[in-house]
Amino acid sequence: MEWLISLPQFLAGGLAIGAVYGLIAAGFSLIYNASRVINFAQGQFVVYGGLLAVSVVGLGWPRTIGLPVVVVLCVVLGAALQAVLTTARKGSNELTFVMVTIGIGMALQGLAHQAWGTDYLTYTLYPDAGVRIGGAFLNVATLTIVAVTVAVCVALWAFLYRSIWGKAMRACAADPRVAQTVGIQPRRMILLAYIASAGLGGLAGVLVTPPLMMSSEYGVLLTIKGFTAAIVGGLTNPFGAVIGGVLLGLFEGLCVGMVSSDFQDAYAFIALMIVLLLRPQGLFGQVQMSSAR
Amino acid sequence: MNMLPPSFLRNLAPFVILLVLAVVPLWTTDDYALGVWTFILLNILVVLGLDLLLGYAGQLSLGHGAFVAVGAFASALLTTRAGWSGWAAMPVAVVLAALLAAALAIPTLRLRGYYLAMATLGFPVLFDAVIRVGSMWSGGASGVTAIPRLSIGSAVLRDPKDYYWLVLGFVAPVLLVTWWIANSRLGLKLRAIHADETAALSRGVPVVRLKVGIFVLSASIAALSGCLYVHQVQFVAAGTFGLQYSLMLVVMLVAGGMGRIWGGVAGVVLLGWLSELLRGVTSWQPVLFGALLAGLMLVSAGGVAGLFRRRPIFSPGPLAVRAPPLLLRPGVSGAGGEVLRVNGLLRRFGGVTAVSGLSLNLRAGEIRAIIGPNGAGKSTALALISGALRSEKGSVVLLGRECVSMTADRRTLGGLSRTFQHPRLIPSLTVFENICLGSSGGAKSLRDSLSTARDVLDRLKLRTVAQRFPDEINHYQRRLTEIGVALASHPAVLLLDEPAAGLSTAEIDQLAQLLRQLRDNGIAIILVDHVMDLVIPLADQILVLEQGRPIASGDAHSVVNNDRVRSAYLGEAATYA
Amino acid sequence: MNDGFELRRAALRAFVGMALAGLGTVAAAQTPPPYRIGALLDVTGAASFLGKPELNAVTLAVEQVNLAGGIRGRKVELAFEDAKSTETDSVLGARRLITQAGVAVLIGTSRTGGAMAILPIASEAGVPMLAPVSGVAVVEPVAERKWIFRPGQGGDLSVAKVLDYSRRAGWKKLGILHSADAYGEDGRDNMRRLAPGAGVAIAREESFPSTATDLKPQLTKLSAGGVDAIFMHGLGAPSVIVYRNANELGLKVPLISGHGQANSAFRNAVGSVVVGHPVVGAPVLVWNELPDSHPQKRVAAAFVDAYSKRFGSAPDMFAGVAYDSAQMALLAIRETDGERAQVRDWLEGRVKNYVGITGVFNFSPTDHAGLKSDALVMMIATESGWRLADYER
Repeated sequence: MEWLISLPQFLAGGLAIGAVYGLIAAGFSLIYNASRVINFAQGQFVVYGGLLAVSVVGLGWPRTIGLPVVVVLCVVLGAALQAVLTTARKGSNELTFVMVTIGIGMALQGLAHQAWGTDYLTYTLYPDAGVRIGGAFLNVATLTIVAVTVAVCVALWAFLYRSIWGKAMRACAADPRVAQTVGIQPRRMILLAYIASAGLGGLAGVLVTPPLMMSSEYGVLLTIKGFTAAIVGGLTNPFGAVIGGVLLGLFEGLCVGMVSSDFQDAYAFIALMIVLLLRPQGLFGQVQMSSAR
Repeated sequence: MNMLPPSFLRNLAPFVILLVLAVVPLWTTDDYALGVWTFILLNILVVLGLDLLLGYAGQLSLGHGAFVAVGAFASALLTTRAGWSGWAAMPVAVVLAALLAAALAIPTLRLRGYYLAMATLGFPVLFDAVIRVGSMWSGGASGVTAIPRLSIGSAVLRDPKDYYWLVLGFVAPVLLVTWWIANSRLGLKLRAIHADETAALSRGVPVVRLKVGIFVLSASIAALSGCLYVHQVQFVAAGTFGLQYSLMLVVMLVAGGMGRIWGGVAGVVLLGWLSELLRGVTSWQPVLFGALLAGLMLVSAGGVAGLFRRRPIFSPGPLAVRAPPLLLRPGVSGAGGEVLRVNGLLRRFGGVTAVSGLSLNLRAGEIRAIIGPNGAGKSTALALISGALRSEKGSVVLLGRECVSMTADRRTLGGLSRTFQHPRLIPSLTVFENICLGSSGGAKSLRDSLSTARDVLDRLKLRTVAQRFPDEINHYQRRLTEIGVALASHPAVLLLDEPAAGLSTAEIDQLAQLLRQLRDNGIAIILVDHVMDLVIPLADQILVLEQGRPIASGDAHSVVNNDRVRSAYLGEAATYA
Repeated sequence: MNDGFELRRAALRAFVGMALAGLGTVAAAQTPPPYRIGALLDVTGAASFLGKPELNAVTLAVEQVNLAGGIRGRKVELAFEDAKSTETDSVLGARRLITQAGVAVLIGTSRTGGAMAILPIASEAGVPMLAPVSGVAVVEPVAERKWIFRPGQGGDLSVAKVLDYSRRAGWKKLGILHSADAYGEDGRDNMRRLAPGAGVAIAREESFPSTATDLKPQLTKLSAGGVDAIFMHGLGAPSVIVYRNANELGLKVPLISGHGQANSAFRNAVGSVVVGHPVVGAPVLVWNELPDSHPQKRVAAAFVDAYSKRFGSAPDMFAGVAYDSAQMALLAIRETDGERAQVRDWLEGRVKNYVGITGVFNFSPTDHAGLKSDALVMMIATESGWRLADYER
């Protein structure tokens, strides 16, 4: 079983992309908690983060300025998306909002196609180096992405559990009407959720494009996988979602290595169906209302 | 009693559509335009099924193209590799798609949320991978070529006109079937599922089964379209019916108008030709159509069809001359036998015990009240009895049958109905249609359902608002309508959750009169309310809950004077006549 | 009186006017209609890196002909449809070009998959088709491909080049790493077929979808199979990532690529990790290193010059294939009356030792591909681009 020796390598291969899934999944979770909407345009934040970074670097901007600017642009994009959603007619239900995000996701992908084509683009950010840990080679890119994801989780925890805004968000997620009685405005909380999600997605895009490249075509696949990760970890729990993402990435890496590389993208779908069958609330989420009751 | 359909024009509409489509080949100028129309017909097939799923039942599928592909590949491979005739391959392809759809739907549709949407986004990825990997038999990434055309007898269908009419020959029955479904009681149930699954369950609608069934049906129709496609184009590859195509189906449906059947047809025709006209700027199409989808959903979601008001499916017809008959459930005597026995129900949420040790016996014609302070678990108790929540242990015996593990819809069909604290009527249905929803459970005939609904309507004197929508009537009328919906399923037991909330004194009196009539007719009632002026005079027995546990039970006088009840809820100084 | 005179003058004017109008109509009818060539190329979608330079090349060819006075005094018109990198749009575009635009000959598509999709349509309609692709199945079996010609370097030629290199390098066992699409599968199939004859064994095969982000598992498994070298035949971002991954793994086993990597999009994206590795390419990319006696050198130089002046950048090898296709089509029209069947017959029977940019073409009733392996060269990646492998000089 020569592959057992390669096991750590297979897992390591999935680590970077797993962290990206985790950041996307956290975004899903934040928006879902705030507004019960599944944002089908989530993957586009990552795409725009990556492609804008390529353009910004290509224009000659120094990375220390350009990359944060790109993340800010993604945040603005998130705010714009939420602004569009607020124009919905009275009496719109969730399905309406979800379908609006689908339409906007489509349009965003089309715009990205116009602006950057369908080619795979990249820019240099990390040095060509890495470490060997336990039989696996982890390059600087992977280490950086993992480190940033951990930092994001810590920051997210501090925000949600230690800051007044975060507590307000959690209150709003638990019961919007009661939250209103103490002066919290649900609309602001929803805006905050979209801004945070877009920022997380943009950051993920910026970090992951140098090693893995980015194309305007990736948006939908990232959305599907990010959602799967959120389901695995528990849609209602942002941290669970991040962990779900990492697990999904590891699972993908493992399956590609041990089973077959042909079904690369299908493993996420298989994981989704398995989780829905066995434990729909995910590892860390709460039990959701089911249709049977 | 005459139950004419509301307007004979409406029933002609599908035939008009078919007639218009049939004459298209006679005035198209060239084969190319006819080819576009043929693609439009093929897409109409798929969108008809998609409308039932998305427009009526409100379930989102973003990968319907994959089922078209399943049908296409199955038919292509059976005819090229195994030498079958195209006609023989079609039913096999459709059944295969149905099975795959069921496999996808059952795990996802038993949950509420957008799991189906994500699963339908992911399924094509798996399907693509299977096709690529199985390239030995599937043609892999290069696709399947030289697929034979269909032939009737010995005549090969080569002429584009012949092919167009062949496809139309499939569109016609599908259009008629989907039309019929949409305008039947099944259509009411689908709309109910879309609006409010909890309410639909409590009206006896088997929500999960219907969702899965409609999904499977729509997938099967899509596969049929795929079969017809390959014998015309004679080629199919893994990417032919990809995500872009699936999303375009949704955009077409939304643009034409969801939930109107002919809206889907209009949307396909309009956007099919728009897409054709815009082919000079094809790379902008995703932007345009994505923006169109978003914009339409923000503004109206009604599309082109939304410009026309929806006619109600069912109307009550002329006023009854004689008094409506008794509303008792057939087969149950009103003479006072036991109809409901509840024993030891328990429900916890996390660390909190919402209800524990709930037990009661109920006889026909009895009114039992459940009272208690806020948070005592009264609504939870009703939910446990009605099946909206699952009890962790205990038993619920309804008319002699144990049903503690039955879902709410089965209990409703078994004779137990409920109303909700805030009336949960289906907003897209009229008052009469809502009541029809209540009377449509089980295997009754259409005539019986409509006649029961009419009787309930007249009994509750709602005739004047029968054709209005819930947002057009006042609160008391909504309350009455909801009681009517519950009565329409011939319950032996009726659960009422705070029916007096928001009513004026006069309205409360009318309500009390109604409840007495129901009781006199042999219906057992469990009444939860805070309005003691309603509860005390009506209740034969009162059950008092505090923090989920029963603390007193008995007739009104003894309960009112119970010290514990007074200190927990009623107040020391309370007196009731 | 005056009236009579006026009347006669009016009548004369009317007569002259009508005569002129009549002559004008006759003259208009006499202006011969232009010849129409159809181009069905993928300028949007995943294969746009192929379609855009191909469209440029075909446009250039048509412009050159028209500048020189057209064919027998008639202009040549280029009717274009975008195949959008999907089979469905290829089929729709082919139908439009054949029935609506009525083209005499069709050049397209840029992808093997698209070409496979439209060849039944071209065959049924009796329209000769020149496909600038490499898929072997496009022109085989020849008996069923009467109307289809494939001037692109075949996947079999590419594989033959790789096997030749393997022989020189002393490699006996190869691993195959291919993309999961028609192009990649064609390379794999050709290698499976030709390797035994060259004394090379295929030890292992791995594939990757176009969205793969990490190919270390495949590389690990291939090198664990005891191979002397890994043959990569694929398109897309993963083909770039492969070289990076190989570098990170410290892979001892050498990589050799098919001609899918011989383009500027790949070379720019992959950076310096590819330097020193062999890649199958076309003479047009290294034309200035070819010996003067090389048949392609002169035509390649002229083409590179004209293309660079017209479009501002050097052409890729697919542009060369498309240019050859267009030139052959124009030549066929010039030598016949421009009827579809005549064009087909001419292509099949009269293209002998035609020196194109891609190679020396010889079509025959049994060979609609027309090229031998000298149409390809082995290149080595350099810091700035490509150079010819030493043994090719």
